[in-house]
Amino acid sequence: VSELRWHPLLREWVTVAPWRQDRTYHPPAAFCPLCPTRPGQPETEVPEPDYHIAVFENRFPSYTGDLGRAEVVCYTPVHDSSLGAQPLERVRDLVEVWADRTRELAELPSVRYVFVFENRGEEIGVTLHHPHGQVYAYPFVPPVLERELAASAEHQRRTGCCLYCEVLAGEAAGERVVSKDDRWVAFVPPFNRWPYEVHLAPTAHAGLLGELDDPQAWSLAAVLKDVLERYDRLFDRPLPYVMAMHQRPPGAGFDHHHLHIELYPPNRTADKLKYLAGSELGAGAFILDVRAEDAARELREA
Amino acid sequence: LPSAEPGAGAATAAGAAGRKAAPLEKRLVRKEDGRYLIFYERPKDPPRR
Repeated sequence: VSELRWHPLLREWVTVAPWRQDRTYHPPAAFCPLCPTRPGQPETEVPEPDYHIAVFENRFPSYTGDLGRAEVVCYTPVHDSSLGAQPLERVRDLVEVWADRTRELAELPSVRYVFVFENRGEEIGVTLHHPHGQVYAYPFVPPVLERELAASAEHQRRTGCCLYCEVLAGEAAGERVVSKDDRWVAFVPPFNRWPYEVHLAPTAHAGLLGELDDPQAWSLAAVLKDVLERYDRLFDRPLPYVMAMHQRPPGAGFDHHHLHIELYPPNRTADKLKYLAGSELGAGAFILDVRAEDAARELREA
Repeated sequence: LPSAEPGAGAATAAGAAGRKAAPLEKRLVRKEDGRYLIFYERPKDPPRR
């Protein structure tokens, strides 16, 4: 079982899971553990010859047992692909899977937050190239979410309004909008910390993926796919990114939180990465080389 | 809005949103080491008469 250690200076938990040092590292495609098991070949994590979408407990979990869960979500049986390259219908099915995993894991007694995310690309530290995401069920509310929740709770108390709804209202002029339809909008926030950071949010207030109705879920699938396709056209190569879904925590008292998805590609140009260095890591102060308005225009034109 | 038209995917969604998808079918399997594996599958169309 993982060990939680308290960081008294930052007032946050650090999770220690030493067995993760032995996790599978860049296996050749023929030995991909996320591919279906081919006839006559060694068994993979998915012991069947085909699948639509598969979810399993991580063999090298950060959280397990009474502490929480770490799951892997295989988007497709096809090894050389990506989330953005999936047909719209499959992305829509993934929205349903993400909502279902959130609902189920939130029922575990120790779980305080369910985090759906994807790391894409070696630059981000991905060790398996097969298109997949992950779900962590934490025994605490992670620090970034805790800060967001504190900000939105305080704003709601003070003004009676949803903070993120006001952020969305600030995008009405469209200068930072990348893609949108009637129900979801994708934009580079004016407070972006990564050059091509994009937020996606429903225009109507909702806290969980499971609260979206059918048209909203289709809309999320379409806008997300559109943004990911733009990412790959931006520099004419697969763009690495972290995708972080910020849903509200389980339980009562979090209605002020507005569901949104944050995407952080590490690139600042086609061949240069933004590294987190002294100011960002040592002081927590991000310095940015690209204006949100310029990044949004580039993504609209991609 | 300046060039903020929805992409091709969004246009497709407008059509897709009109049809309500049946929920995915869920199948739970236990792996030999005790970990769970869940298959999410599209329900097969009922056989035509």
